[in-house]
Amino acid sequence: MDRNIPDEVLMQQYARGDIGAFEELLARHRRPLFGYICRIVDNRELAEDTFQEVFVRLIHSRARYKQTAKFTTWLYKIAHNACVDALRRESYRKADSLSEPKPMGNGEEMRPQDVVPSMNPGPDEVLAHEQLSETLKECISRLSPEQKEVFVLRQYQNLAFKEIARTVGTSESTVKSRMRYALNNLRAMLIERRVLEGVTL
Amino acid sequence: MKCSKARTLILDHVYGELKPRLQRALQKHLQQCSECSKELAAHQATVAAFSKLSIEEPPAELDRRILEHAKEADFRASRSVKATGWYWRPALAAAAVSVLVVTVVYYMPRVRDSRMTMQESPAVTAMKEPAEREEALSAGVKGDAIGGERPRVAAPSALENEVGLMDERRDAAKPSSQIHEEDYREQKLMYAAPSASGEASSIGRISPDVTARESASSPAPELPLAKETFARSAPLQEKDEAQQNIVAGARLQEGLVGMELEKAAGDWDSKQKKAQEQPAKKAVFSEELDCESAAGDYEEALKLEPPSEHAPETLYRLGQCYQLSGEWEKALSVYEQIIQDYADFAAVGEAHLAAGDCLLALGKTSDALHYYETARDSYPAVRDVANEKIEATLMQQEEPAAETQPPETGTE
Repeated sequence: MDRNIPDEVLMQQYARGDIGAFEELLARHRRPLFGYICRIVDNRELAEDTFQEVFVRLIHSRARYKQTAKFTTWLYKIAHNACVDALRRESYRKADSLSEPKPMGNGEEMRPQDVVPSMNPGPDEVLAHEQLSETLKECISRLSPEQKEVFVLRQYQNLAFKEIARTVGTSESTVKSRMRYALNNLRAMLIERRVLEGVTL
Repeated sequence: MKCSKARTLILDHVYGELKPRLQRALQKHLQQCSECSKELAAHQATVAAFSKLSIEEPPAELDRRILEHAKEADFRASRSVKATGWYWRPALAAAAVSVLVVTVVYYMPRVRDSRMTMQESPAVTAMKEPAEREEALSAGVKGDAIGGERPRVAAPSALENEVGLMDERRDAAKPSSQIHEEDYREQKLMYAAPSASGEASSIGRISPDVTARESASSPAPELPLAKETFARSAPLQEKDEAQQNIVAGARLQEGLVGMELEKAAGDWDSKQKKAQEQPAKKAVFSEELDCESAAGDYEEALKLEPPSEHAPETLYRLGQCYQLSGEWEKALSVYEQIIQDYADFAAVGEAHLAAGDCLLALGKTSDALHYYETARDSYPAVRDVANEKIEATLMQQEEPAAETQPPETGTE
């Protein structure tokens, strides 16, 4: 498949039944989309389910795609909705499983999150780059959901602020305001973790 | 250029979105303003640090499954096109007519019989003479097997009224027609105690409101239920069952009505919640927000009396529907109702923000700011978002010539 064919044309071809066009779209967007979902839901297993869900929704809505919409804006709007649903389901599940304290052998009570080992790898186990990646991921996960989404879509998905506004359903000035808060918060976190040197703003 | 304007342009500049003319204006400002220069340097350093993040690779297995699903969907779509081709249509129509005729001629008398037998109230049975009662019972038991004659009932007018009342209530409870088949199964037990609550209401033990709630949760008599109860069991068991139902009805009349009604109220609430969730789910799945029909469903849910504990949530979602359809005034009045009547509602902070958004779309910036500020000062959970909105609104006020579009509706 020609790499120069725009996404929008491929999507139209797929809407007419060309599976090859769908394969090409999947190959082009699988990695950035998965990265976006991983950052937003912050859980690998849930991210895999949500990733599949996004493509299932795309398959079922293929007939409704209009070329007037930019494909990435449409795709990330589907992904945004799928992530919101996944996080909602996950919050119900966590409310069931994490709220009950579990009795320990020594008579103390601990919650499941206290006994589950941390996902952060130790310094001896991973390379420095992976360590840095983990730190960056942790910082992103600490942002508010609104700031996180705007930051990830701009920084990693390369969506313009106007496209982000359409994807998350708000105005461009709100998106920029969230982005500014996100960058300031992330910077403070990086300084706290000694990844960046502090400069008084 | 003011610093507030420069700050928004700095973000565009960092990500290479700035047009050359604005780029020059920004550079000019940066040469004169050390604060903005520092902000630019800080943002560039943060963005550079986060560009080192390695992106995860999705497992190849997922690609395979997705492709399989796509091929399957394509196959199903092509098959359904063939199956509904014009050359099949006459045959399909003929088959549909035959099924309809068989259903009407063969099954309808049975359904009527089983409905009559199912809904015969214990009080009606109790009013009969002993021999007559026995006859009515066995007629009810055999009715389905004989497939024809209607069992004789001692007080037909009372029973007809009762059945008519139940039907009316079912008709009034329109949302129940949208409820999933599983709900019918869940409530089968309740239905097995025949019209106990109907009788209770007729003898004045419970208020009409409560009866309405109960009836809203009662399923419409369905053929599978009647057939399950009468066709699958042996005659003796059926007789026992019918007697047990009478005992159950009597016990309900003696004081267990309240318990059943509590269950009914719970069912009613869960149904109302489903009625709220169903359109939202449907809209999210289709990626095409069908705001009009969703709003209609929420409006219906809000008409139910007495109001459910989910009423504020329903109102909030109704407001969202209006907002997404661009009906700002309607949305605003809904949010104001939440703020006024449901101060304890968990999302009342969000309702303030949404009311502000509506006012902003209506061009009433100072009123919008008032709501945003109340949200910021009184609801810590939405403080960050309120601050963002206040800042964005103030920025827009400073640059009226720039984009002053209403918020996007999100539909493509």
